[in-house]
Formats: sequence, C-alpha cells, structure tokens
Amino acid sequence: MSELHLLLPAAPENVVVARQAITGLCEGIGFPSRSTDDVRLAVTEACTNVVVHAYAPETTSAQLEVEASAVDQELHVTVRDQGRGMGVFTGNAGLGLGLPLIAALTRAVEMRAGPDGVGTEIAMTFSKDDADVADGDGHA
Amino acid sequence: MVTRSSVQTTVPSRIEVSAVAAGPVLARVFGIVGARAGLSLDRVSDLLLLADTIANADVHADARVTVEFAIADGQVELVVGPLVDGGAEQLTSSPRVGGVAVLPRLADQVDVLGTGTDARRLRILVA
Repeated sequence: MSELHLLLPAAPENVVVARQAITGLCEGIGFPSRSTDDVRLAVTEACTNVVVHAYAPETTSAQLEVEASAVDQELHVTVRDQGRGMGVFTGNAGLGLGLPLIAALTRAVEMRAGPDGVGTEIAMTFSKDDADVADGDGHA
Repeated sequence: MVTRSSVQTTVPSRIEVSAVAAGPVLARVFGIVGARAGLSLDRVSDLLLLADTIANADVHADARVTVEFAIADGQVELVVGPLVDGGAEQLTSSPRVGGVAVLPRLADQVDVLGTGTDARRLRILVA
C-alpha cells in the first residue's frame, strides 16, 4: 500500500501542492535531504508535464495523481494522468528538457500508458544510497 | 460543480497518507491551501495546528489519514475521513488544552457528516 496518494485537478497551482506533499512525505519517512531535493525537482517536472501536455484545454475533469511508497532504501513515485496518452502532439513542445532531467535525477524511470491503457504514467525510483554516495564524495 | 483553485473542475482534491508521514505532509499542504485562500497569517498558523491535530489523532480508518480539501469564497474546507467508529466525536472533543477542546477553537465551523455509526467524516471550515 502506498504511503501517499494525492489526487488533484491538473491545474498549474496544484503542482506546488504535489511538491509540498512529496516533500512532507520525504520528511516523514526520513529520506535524506539531498535525495529529497532530487525527488522534489523530478516530481515537479512530471506534474508540470501533466498540466501542460496531458489534457486538451477544454477538459474539465483533468486530474493529476501522485502515488508514492517507500520500500527499504528506495522511494517509488508515480505521477499519473488520464489524458490523451503518449504520442499526441499538443502543440506545446516546450524545451524538451523535462524527461532528461527526470532521468538524471532518478535511479530508474519508466514512462508508460496508464492503467487500462488510459493516459500516461511516469514511474520514478529514488534511492537513499545515491545521497550517501554523493555526500561521501564531498559534493554539497 | 465547485470552484477549486483557478479552474472549474469536477475533480476533487484529496490526499491520503499513511499515519507515519501524515504530520509533515498535511502541514505542508494545508499551509499552501491556506495561503492560496488568502487567509491571514494567524489563520494559516491555525491550519498548521489543525494539521498536527488531525495527523496525531488515533481515529483514522486503516491507519491512513484521508482529507479532501477545497477553497471556496475565501475559506478552506476540509473533509477528514473515513474515521473509525466514534472517531469524529473523538477528534472534535480531544485533544484538550485547559479543559477546552482544541479543534473547535481552531476552526470556524465543524460538522460531523452522517449520523450514528455512519458518522465517519468530519467537515471543517477555516476562514
């Protein structure tokens, strides 16, 4: 069972709600602060992708879902929408930096169709160990 | 349909979190929601105290804290639950400071939703 399940309207102002919720979860489960920074940034990018790309502008039931669970030394976070799915050009391509950034911040990442083939979900895995290694190398 | 944030939507805002992480999660989310509603700093502080009160109460079904929240007319509406049997009354009447229940003093309005054994959700308004 997940530690956190967040369901929000897919609106720009709710990206910060998701970011604060995942930050609180990291605090609550004792995730290292350096790793928490990575989690915050990656989740923010994934949620922004949902808000910007997932739904047609006239959609009134656009939802943003965040699910997170901690297993051993890892935190698994899934950001999900019920939108148009992958491969639909939205006319707003952006800079194309979001997914590469997420990939750089996570131990593992997978982008796939949502449950029952509806929408898109991005599953991210973060590790406590990554922060330990980095801190041990003296990186601030 | 309810106006939630800047968009007209049929999607509720709901957070469900394990009891162990509920305190920091609710505090951060309530803080953002209170600020967005335009509450005064004092009332946002009251919301943070409410977050602690809700998170620390041993009244939540399945040891998971579930809260729906919305902003309407400059006030924050929270619906807490499902709760265990008797949880709504317990959350309303305790904890107490100086013999006075905390939660009703922090909120502008507290309603138990449902009756009898179905009274498993609590609606809290803060303005």
